[in-house]
Amino acid sequence: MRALSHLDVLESEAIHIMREVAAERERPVLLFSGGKDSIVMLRLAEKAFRPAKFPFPVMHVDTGHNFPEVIEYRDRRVAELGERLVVASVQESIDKGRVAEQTGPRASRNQLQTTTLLDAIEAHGFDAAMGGARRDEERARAKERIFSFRDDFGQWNPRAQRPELWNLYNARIRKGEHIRVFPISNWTELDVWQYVAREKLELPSIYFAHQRDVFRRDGMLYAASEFVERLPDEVPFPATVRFRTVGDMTCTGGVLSEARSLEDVVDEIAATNVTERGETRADDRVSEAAMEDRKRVGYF
Amino acid sequence: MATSRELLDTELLRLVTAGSVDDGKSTLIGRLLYDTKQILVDQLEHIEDASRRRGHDYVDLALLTDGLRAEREQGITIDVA
Ligand SMILES: Nc1nc2c(ncn2[C@@H]2O[C@H](COP(=O)(O)OP(=O)(O)O)[C@@H](O)[C@H]2O)c(=O)[nH]1
Ligand SMILES: [Mg+2]
Repeated sequence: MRALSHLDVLESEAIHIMREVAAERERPVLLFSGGKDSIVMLRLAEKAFRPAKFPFPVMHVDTGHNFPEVIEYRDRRVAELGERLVVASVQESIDKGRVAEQTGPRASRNQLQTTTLLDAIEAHGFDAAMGGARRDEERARAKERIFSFRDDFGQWNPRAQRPELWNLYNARIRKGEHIRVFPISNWTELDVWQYVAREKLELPSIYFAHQRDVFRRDGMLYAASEFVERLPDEVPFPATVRFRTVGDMTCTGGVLSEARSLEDVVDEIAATNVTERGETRADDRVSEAAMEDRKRVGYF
Repeated sequence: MATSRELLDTELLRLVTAGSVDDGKSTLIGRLLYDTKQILVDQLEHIEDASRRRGHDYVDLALLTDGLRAEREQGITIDVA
């Protein structure tokens, strides 16, 4: 028998985790951003549960500042799968006065998502939220358990994590608490791309090189859009870019690239010397522990 | 530079260190990651900055494994995941 490739090993680990969640929790939900990691999560869920329906809905925390290509992709993909989509809207949280919109050129709804997410988890009574975060993205994520416990207030305490031995996962919680579950924790960015190629998964077009108007800020190239207020010297210009991560248009930078096919992108990622968040995400640059601090209060 | 095809054939490597507190386990793991070119430019810049902020005149490679706030404040590994 052929030995399992490293992708097979990662895949079977993730499928096992998803089935474990479905078996142990009453109301799980799969968080879906429209990005490559969530798209891989959908394929893994198909492998774990087809021909049955997913034993959970798919939820998107919608900031209202997304790339339109991503929303289009989201609606189409979920419809193709015939699964149920729950949209938790940051705009609604703002309208209801749960959070206040930031203003100015650096305004972003990134932080506001936490409240929307926690409110939706509570409103729907979800007790397990599966996400596509990976350890290689960020040092706080690297230290988070695959089954990550959240208290009554949705908070993560990195100093009170449960032991997690081999593939023995502890999903026990009390009422009001929930767990976050990260089935692809152990994947790298390159693993995700290689899996996308192997499974021939379709991705939103922004992942491939295309021409668009961008402007330069803090050494990154941001898409010029109605959602971002530009400073006077931030003049948009056309460039051929692609995006390595999919976040808000307000905090996700593009990279100059000519990689128009999946093969080109895989080669580009294999040769890169900068991490995806280091290259493209403003939200992690705030401080040394920016992600840890956001995670503590309930961020993804 | 490895091609994507070569990287497709890689296997997982598991590594264990054992020793007393401050024996240099984290530093050793950080050094192995560095020497095997697993550390990307921005990650290295980040720990160079963090080392400087802590008053070191060297790059503390233990910061690669010790990423949580409490770990960095106390200079110890609290959690492995
Ligand atoms: N002189 C010397 N100091 C080292 C060496 N390796 C680690 N250290 C220092 O020993 C201390 C503890 O290292 P650390 O890796 O955190 O130890 P751990 O508790 O085993 O993880 C730190 O101050 C390191 O800078 C070494 O090879 N030589
Ligand atoms: Mg240590």
